[in-house]
Amino acid sequence: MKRLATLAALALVLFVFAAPAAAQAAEQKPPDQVAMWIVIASGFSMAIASAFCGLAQAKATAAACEGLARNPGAAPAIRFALILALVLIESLALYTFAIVFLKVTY
Amino acid sequence: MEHHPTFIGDLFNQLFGGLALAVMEMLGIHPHDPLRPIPDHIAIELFIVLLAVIFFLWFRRQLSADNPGGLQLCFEQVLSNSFRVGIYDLLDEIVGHHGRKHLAMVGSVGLFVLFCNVISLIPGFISPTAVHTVPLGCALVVFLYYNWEGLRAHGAVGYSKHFMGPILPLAPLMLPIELISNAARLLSLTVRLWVNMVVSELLYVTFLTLGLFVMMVAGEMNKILGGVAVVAPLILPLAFILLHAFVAFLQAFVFTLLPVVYVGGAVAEEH
Repeated sequence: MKRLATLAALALVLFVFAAPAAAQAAEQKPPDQVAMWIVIASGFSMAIASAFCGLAQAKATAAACEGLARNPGAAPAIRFALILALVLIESLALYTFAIVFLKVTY
Repeated sequence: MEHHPTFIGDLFNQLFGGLALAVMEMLGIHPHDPLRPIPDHIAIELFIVLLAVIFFLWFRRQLSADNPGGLQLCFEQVLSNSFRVGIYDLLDEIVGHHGRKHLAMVGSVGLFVLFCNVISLIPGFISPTAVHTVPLGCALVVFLYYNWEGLRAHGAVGYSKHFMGPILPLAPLMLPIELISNAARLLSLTVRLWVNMVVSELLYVTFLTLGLFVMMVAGEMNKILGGVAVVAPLILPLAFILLHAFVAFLQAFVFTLLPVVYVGGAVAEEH
């Protein structure tokens, strides 16, 4: 019981210690002209990333549907591979969104 | 993005704020707001861990092999189910022989991410995984764990041979590619979980705001129309809150599956 209490206190201290990790140094805002181009570029890049992600997911889904139609017995395996592939491809489009999210400060 | 204080954050700061502030001053750390030294996402994480520990300690005593209750059957589905996506199924299929010993790490991280993701569905809570440091922490733990397991299984020399590819002459080409790809796993685990949580919640909030705007504009124009337009903020965000729930569960599943795949790759024995 005493060990549990010390462990809990240690965990609490460690969590509190981690709090300022979220504090970021104030970043310099880019000049308005540059900020405008950042916004425009992020719009185009997000569109391109989503377009290619949509294309890739469509190919994956089409292959999975065809496989399911040919071999319904393998449905669990195909479904599993499909979900995994869709998530991994989705994450590629989301990397672009992450940059947009972090860098657009208009 | 404005930050609204959560109920649990307020509670934790009332209970432990003084203690936390004292510890931070001792370590020389200065919080953003001295009245709320514990950030909301940490308060919610602690709350989740506390609830989970209390629940599972209680639940452990109800477990029985001969006469399982309903709750036990539900949790057994998490381990092994007919879709073969239970944690034991994944470990057996992907890691192979001694897969089940990795259950502690994979299961804990997976369940923690699941609870963190799903708690954002309850009004008044934010998902800790929507703050970029929390997925980074989970991904770091997974990264260190699978590399440690690989080193333990093969030794330092044997594990480095993994990075050199199948045939020796290709080693100078394979080594940088493998190293970068391993480092990218850390990045991808973090960004995938974090951005999925941020984006699905953002979509929901955006469409909820749109619905509320439609309702308010309709109310300005005509009282009856405004009364009818009350359905807009109720119906419009429905698809998006369902999407958010789906993404929460799916990302937790992927955050369980990918560590299993990485551990499998690290401890793989060449036959």
